[in-house]
Amino acid sequence: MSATAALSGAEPREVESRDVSVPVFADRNAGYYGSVFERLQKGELPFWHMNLAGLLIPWIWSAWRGVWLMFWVSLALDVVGLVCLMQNFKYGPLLEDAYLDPSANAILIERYTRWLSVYNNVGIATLVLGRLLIGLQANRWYFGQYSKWRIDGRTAHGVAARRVVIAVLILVLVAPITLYRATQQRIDERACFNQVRAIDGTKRLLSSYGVTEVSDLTSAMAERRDRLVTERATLEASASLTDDQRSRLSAIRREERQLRREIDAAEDFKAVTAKDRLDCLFIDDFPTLARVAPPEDVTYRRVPDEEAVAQGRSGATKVIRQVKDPVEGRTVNIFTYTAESIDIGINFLRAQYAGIFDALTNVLRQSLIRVEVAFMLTPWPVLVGLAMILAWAYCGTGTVVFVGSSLTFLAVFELWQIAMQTMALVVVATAICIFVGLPVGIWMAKNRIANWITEPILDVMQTIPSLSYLVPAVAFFGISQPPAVLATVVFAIPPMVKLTALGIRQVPQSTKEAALAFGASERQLLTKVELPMAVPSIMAGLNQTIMLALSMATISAFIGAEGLGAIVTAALGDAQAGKGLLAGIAIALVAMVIDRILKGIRSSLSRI
Amino acid sequence: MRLTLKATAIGAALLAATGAGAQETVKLSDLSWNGARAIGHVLKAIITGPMGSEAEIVEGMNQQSVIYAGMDKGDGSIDVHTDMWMPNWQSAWDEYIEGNGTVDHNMPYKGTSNIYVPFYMADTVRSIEDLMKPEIAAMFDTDGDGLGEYWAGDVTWASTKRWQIKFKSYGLDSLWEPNIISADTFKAGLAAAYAASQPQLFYAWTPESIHAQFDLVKVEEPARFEGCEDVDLDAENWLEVSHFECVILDNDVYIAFSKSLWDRNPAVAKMLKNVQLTGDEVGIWILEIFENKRDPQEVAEEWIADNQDIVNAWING
Repeated sequence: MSATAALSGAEPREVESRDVSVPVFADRNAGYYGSVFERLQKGELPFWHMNLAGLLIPWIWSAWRGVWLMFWVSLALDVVGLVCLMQNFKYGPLLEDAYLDPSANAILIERYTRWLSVYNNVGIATLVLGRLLIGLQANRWYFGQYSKWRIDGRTAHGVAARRVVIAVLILVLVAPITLYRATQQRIDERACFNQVRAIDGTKRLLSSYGVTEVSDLTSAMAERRDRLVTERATLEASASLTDDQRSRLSAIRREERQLRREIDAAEDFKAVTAKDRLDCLFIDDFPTLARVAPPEDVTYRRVPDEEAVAQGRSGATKVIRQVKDPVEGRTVNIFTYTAESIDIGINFLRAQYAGIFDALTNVLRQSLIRVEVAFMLTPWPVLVGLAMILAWAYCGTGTVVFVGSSLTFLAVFELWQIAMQTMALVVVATAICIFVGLPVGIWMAKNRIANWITEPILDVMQTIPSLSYLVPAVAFFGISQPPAVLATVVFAIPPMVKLTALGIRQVPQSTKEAALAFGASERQLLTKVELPMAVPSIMAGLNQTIMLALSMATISAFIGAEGLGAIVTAALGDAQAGKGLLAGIAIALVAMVIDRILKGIRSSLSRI
Repeated sequence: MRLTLKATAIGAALLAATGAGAQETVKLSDLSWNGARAIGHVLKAIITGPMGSEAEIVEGMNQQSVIYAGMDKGDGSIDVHTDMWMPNWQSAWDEYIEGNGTVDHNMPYKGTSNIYVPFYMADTVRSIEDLMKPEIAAMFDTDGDGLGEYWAGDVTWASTKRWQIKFKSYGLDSLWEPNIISADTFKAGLAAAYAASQPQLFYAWTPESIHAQFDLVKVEEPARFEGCEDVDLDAENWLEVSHFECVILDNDVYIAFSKSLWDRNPAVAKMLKNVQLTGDEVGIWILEIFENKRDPQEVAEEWIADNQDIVNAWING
């Protein structure tokens, strides 16, 4: 081909000479794919064009050629179709059983027949239509892959036996077990539990009898039972019994009962087939696999230290450790093991650091009492008036009316004092959120490692259900308000931290550079530039924090925190809808009042 | 009334003849305390085991007033209250068992209700007289308002009101205030206080695993005398009109079940009527299930296997 001919461009060329990339991409059968791709590009490929290999052996073809999308789609379609057909094995036997007594089981027969016909139709349709779809799409997907390969040479191309091996491995891993599962009824809830019990129990018995074969074990147990029965018979036959004999008799009865249970366990063990074990491993939950001895049952207690007190150190205490005897033969799964270990850990921490926890609880309580007194001793008209003045100063007339009527609602419904208890809790919790959240937020904005550490912790704090950390909170800080404050802080602090960090990060680089150019120190940069510019974002965070703290009021009531939430929980317990709703509305009103006033303050600040 | 009785009798006969509808699933309560749970598991095991019928513990069904109302309705949403403490629930007794006649019960076992302290407080608090000392009440003050706290029970329990009445009648209400929270929360708090040897005063009862878990000592109360107990829990001003200044009589604890069970599952109704528990038996189940942490169903099945005569007597009675 001459250079001039190539430049003229208009004259038609043969397919083979035009594109050498197809043979490299397709490797085998390049001629076929070359013409197919050509026609596809021209839009001349008829819609019924079908790849036979794609129709008949889609998984192997697609793996061989590296079209993984098609591999997964075809595998999924085939497995879904086959799973539907497998229902025949699941319900077929049931249907046969039902036919044994057709008149009594009319409903069952009707139901199973309907299910089976639906499953069969769907199954066959999925298989046939699915394969047709794959056959039709195969070359189109392959062309898509080709186009991608032209741009990115690393895209899978050519043919490779290695990929077929991977595909077969996936098939072997997925298909048999899924299809087998589809043929099986759901296992009885207790079946696997009982199986584990029989296996564990028999293992224990084998070691205690010192034999290795189960048949030896059963004969040894049968022998022992015979001995017991004879002894009991002789004792029961005798007319008068001494006290010793009588207690021996009841001991025999107890032993017989125990033995009968053990024999049952061994029989159960013998009845466990390989299929049963397989079912429990793959059809039921996975964790029935592992059983371990439970953690040592330890309790820690802090008690007065008599010796030290005798030596003149009054009020001295020490931690003692008590170990309970383990319950014989108890094994637990990993979940229970870990849960019990955590319990023991909490108990240890509580006893070991009782002083610290008590001091912290006391600080919280004292601050709560102060705030509560401030709120509760101020007469309600004064507080309502102050709130309305605040609303008037920063917001519109509408807000003033809203604030006034909401707070009057609280007073009229005699919820004022209770609402103020809630307010005290929210105020203390919010104060802690600000004092902790603001510095952490600044640190997060300035330091990438801090960001990397805090981010996931904040996510966990936001998503973990609050009920799950209420119990540890009680364990460390007792019942009532103090643990409720801490639980509220955990729940409400993330927006404070995150929005502070966001606000500081959003300060434009040019502004900071300007400040630095004028010789601002790091501290000045933070206090004179970054923080003032981040105020709207921080205020938004504060607003969120207060709303979240209020919504925790109900949850906190579960651990004895007083306030509006306690009314809601009590109403739930007594199924009193009205009471619960009124208290709920009160919480919402308090939240909205705070929200409106804060919004007003925020917008007046950002106007500066 | 007579007509409906007749109709139900015919219905029952028909059901018994066909044997089809008589297998309705029996719904058991899921109450929060140990005894009720243990009894629930044993009843479930008897019904599903030797009786070959169906039973289910309805998860979360723990509001007693709801349970009584459900049994009264008899629509099969809830059939059995596994641990009805009398006279705490006198109101339900009067309304449903005596009044409407829609709820049936068995022969009770005995339970006790007292107020307890942990053993390390036993020397300080021996009797109600000790509680009258302000310095002792101050030891129990955890929220800094000068009043000692005691746990009176969960908010929905009738016993909670009874303890408040008793504290008022003993003249303790100027020194003590009730802490009314759920039993689970209270137990978590008690475990924490126990670990730090801090004072705790609380209501507890037998049979219950709390006594195996902690070493508790009962606070002595005045003996019973004529007219020492006059309680009206239903009055709006119950605290003001009631009066109770002596130890609580041993409680009778019943299994209560909906009378509609006699139609819907007569065999189970008959068994429930015949059940006769003892506090010791219930105590052993509680110990096995909650202290030794064994599987409840396993414990129940084992007990049934070991006491087949008793169980058969209940079933066939």
